[in-house]
Formats: sequence, structure tokens, C-alpha cells
Amino acid sequence: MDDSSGNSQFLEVERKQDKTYLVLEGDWTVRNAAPIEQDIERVKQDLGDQQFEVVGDHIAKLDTSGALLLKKLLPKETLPPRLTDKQRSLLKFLPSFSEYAPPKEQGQAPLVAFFSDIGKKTYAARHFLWEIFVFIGRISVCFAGNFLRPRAFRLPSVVRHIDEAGFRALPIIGLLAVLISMVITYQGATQLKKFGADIYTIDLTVISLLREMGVLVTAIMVAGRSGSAFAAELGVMKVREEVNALRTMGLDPIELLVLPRVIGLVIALPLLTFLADLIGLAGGSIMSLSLLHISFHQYLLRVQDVATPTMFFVGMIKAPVFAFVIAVIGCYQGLNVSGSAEDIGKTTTLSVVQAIFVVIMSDALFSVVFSKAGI
Amino acid sequence: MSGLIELQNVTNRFGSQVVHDDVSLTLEENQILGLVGGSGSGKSVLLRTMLGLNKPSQGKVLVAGTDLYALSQEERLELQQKWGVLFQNGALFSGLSVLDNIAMPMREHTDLSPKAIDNLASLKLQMVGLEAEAAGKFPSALSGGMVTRAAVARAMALDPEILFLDEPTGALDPTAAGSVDQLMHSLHDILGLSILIITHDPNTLVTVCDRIAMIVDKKVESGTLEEMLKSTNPKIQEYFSSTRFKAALSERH
Repeated sequence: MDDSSGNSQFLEVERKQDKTYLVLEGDWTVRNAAPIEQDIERVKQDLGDQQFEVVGDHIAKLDTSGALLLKKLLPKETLPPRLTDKQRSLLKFLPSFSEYAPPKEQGQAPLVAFFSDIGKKTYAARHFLWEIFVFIGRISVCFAGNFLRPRAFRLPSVVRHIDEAGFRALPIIGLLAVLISMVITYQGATQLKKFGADIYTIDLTVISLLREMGVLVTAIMVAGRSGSAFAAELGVMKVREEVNALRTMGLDPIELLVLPRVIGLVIALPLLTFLADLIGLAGGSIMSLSLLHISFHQYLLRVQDVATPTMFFVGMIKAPVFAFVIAVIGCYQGLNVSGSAEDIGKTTTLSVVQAIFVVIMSDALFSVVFSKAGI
Repeated sequence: MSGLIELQNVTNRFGSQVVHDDVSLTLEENQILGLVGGSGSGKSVLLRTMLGLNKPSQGKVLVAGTDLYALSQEERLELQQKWGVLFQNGALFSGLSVLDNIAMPMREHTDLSPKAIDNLASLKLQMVGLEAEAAGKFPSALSGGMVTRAAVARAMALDPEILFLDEPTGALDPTAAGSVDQLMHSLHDILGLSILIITHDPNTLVTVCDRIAMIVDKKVESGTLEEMLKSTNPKIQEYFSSTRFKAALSERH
């Protein structure tokens, strides 16, 4: 074997008489750890079973990473004589090296895992449904009980939530209503023009806005705005143990935190829907004027012909229901944050997804009921 | 001895509120400096100023003679790799397991093989006295003491030259706090680290620190423990003559 093989910046093999020395030099630090590691592997391969002695006192700098690598070269029982005192104390300070073994995951056959996953999720969904109904039950009991002592309704808190969820949402919801009604009018106008039935565009706008779009767009916006805020606010309070603090003071988190939010939103969302309907109708008039050249007066007359109280109330009746669903899901998820801060993000997302899903579901349910009832 | 990090006439101001007024402080090589002060006196702000996270309103932060806030982004990053920081609540990355938390700086800054990184990270874990089974856990599943230990291990990941510890023993029981003190001692003696500790723990101050700096009325006064004990400043006297402090002192003698 060539004597210079295996020599490098950090490791040098020296042979004197019948002994082999491994002279270490340079900075044995984490920054050089990669090349040192390679050198060690190579030298170990070259030397094979040969006995060698490590000479460490030429090392300029040794840190814990370097020491870990150095340990690979050293015999297990005794430290070789040629090490500095500092190196010795560092080597002794390091815990005995043990290869890191990642914990083994319990393997499951993919097919079994697939079906057991479905099973677990179904079970979780059933559990969630049960929990949500229990939660609604607790809110109802609290609500009913509060009539005995009206002060428990926390009027200031309710007003605050009406302000936050309702009043402050006005600009964005107004803008959305205008845009949605413009889109409907535009699409309707381009299609109905082909049949010369331009004037029915207004029917389309008014009916879809009052019955469906006004309340749906408002509810989805509110779910994103306030449902998420409820989940995050209550989640933070749960994580910081504020909820537990309330409980130990003999106060009911449902009465104090949940009910004002639910009542606030149930009041705010119908008001927002009403305004969205009005602003949406105004948006439709702009589009009819510019696209169909229907004057504002004509538009208004047509709207009066088409819009019936039933139509308006069919839309409005959904608003408190949607509000209730959004508030309950937001609050439920918020109070179910378990322990850590990163859960709050997940829970908030989940609450919005669930709220929007349930809102659209119940909207479909309303449609079925109304059509069966012939409304 | 040369100053590793030197605060020169630093003033920190937030709006009209002055936190530090013309403060000078030096962390010297191979020294353990304890930084104390009442709550709200701006210990953490001073630490952030030293770390390059909070540009002082006036004054300079010199690191090995060069102004930290005048460095380019790359130069500062290079410098910061030689620092290990333990933030007050650990600041472990919640999306990563404990082992990955420690391994992350190594993965980003070295070319080591993944296996070697895992080994190194688990070595650091053992160094701070954490069991091997903690490696796979996520920070949310750890107790306060374990978070502190894991965070110290992460601060040690790249074998820094300077260690900054913000209240390392704050959340620990006395036994665990004692072993963290012991760990700091070992790191200092064996690896020659310079350490800055922000602490409320009289035992840490008495047993570990070479020098003590105290923030009093927006100024910093520093000296050895003996010098601080002899200080004529009434607030410093009050701090060092508190019963808890006396208990720690009597334990030493």
C-alpha cells in the first residue's frame, strides 16, 4: 500500500518502525465535518484490521461534532496517550455514542390501513355530529335559562359582536352584492337577448338575488370573516387557559363567550342580507341601464312586478339559520382546540370549511322543502 | 481580553418611551455574563439588539470590532451561524419533531450525510440530558423543562462560539435548573463557549456567572458578583440583598 494514500488535510497515516500512527490535524469542527467523515471512512477501509494509534494533539480546534467523529477512530476502553487534556475532558463529557435509530412505525398492510382509515374517519364524523348536537343543546339550555335573569344575556357583548360581525362587514358585503348581481344580469342579458326576452333579465336578477344569491353570498362571506374569528378567538382563550380560568371562577363559558356570539350573529346576518339584497338590486339596475338601456324608472317598475313578499322572505328566513350554523361551528371548533398554538390554525380553517359546507347543504335542503311546499 | 460583542452607547427608544439610555456593555471571550433586571426593564430588548434583531435608536453594536448593523445581509448571516440562541419560550419549530428541530440548522448549513446529522442531533439531545424517545416527539407534547433542554440542544447544533440564553431556568424545577446550570458550566469549561444568560435565578447568577450586568433605570451596571455586592446604588443593593439572593449566596459558602 502506498504510504500517502488516505492522507488529507485532516488525517495522515504515518508509519514509524512497526507502528502505524494516525495523525489528526486541522479544524475538527462541524463546518469541516463532511470531509472529515469521508476521510475517516476511507482511512478505515485502507487500514483494515491493522492496529493504529491516534495522535490528536495537532488538532487546532475540536468541537462536539469533531469529537463525535474522533470517537469513531478511538478504541472503546482507553483513550490513547497523545491527546491534550482539553480533548480528553471533551471526550469524557460527551455521552457514550449510540447510533440514532428512528422509532419504528408500526406497519399495516395498505389495504387494511385504507379500510381502517375509513372506519376511523366515519367514527370520528359520528362522534363530531353527536358532540355538535350536545353543544347546541347546551347553548339552548343556557339561552332558555337566561330568561330568568335577563342580565345574563350580556347585552354589551352582544352589541360588540353585532358591530364586529355585522357593521364592519358592510363595505365588503355591499361590494360583493353589487358584483354578483352585475354578473348575473350580464350573463342573463347575453343569453336572453337571443330570444328577444331582454326584459326577463330583470326577473332573473331579482329572483336569484332575493331567493338565493343575496343570503348565500353574505353567509359565505360571514363564515369566512366571523366564523373563523370566533374559532381563533376562542381557540386562543382555550390555549391560554382563559376558558379554564372562567370555569374555576364559576362562570359558564357558554353563557359568557358562546351565547353572545351566536345571538350577535343571528341578529347581524339577516340585517346584512337585507342590505345585500338592496345593494344587489341597485347593482342590477346599473347593468340593465348600460347593457339593455332600461331606464332606472322602468327597472324599478319591473322589480315591483316581479318581487313578491314571499320571495323576499324565502331568502330572509335562511339568514338566521345560516348565522346560527356559522356561529355554532366557529365556537365549537374554538373551544375544542387542544393544548397547542398550532392547533388554532388548523381549527380555524376547519371551522370555515365546515361552516360553508353546512351553509350550502342547508340551502339545498331549504330549496327542496320550499319546492315541495310550492313556495 | 478582547470584547466579543460590545454595546457602545446604545439607546433604545420605542415611540417616546426610552428603554435603554446610553448603555455600554461588553461580552468578553470565554466569559459567562449574567444579565439581570426587573421585569419590563428591557433585558430581552437588549438581547435582541445584540443579536441584530433590533436596530438601536442610537449607538453601535460591535461584533469582533465591526458594526453589526452596518454589515451586509450575507456577512451578518455568516456571523450569526457562530451564535446559538435560546429564546424565552424555547421557540422550537412546532411543525418539526425535536430531532428535526436540532438537525435543521445542520441540514441547512453543512454538507453532512443525513445519517451523520441524525447521529449528531441525537448526541446533542443526550448532552442536554433528554431521553432518546423525546427525539421523535413534537414540541407540543413536551413539558416546559424538556422544551428548554431541546432548545438548548438546538442552540448548540452548529457548535456556536457564543451562546445566548434567555431565561433558561425560568420554567424548570430546582433539580432540572441545577442540571442546566451544570451544563452551562461544562460547555463553558470544556468547549470554551462565551455565554450570555438572562436570568431571574439567583442560583444561576451565583454559581455560573463570571460577571453580572444589571439594568437599573435604563442604564447598565456590570461587575463581578463581589463588585455588585459592594455597589452603592440602592436598587442594586436591594436586588442583591433580597432573601432569595441571600439564600443562594449562603449556599455557595
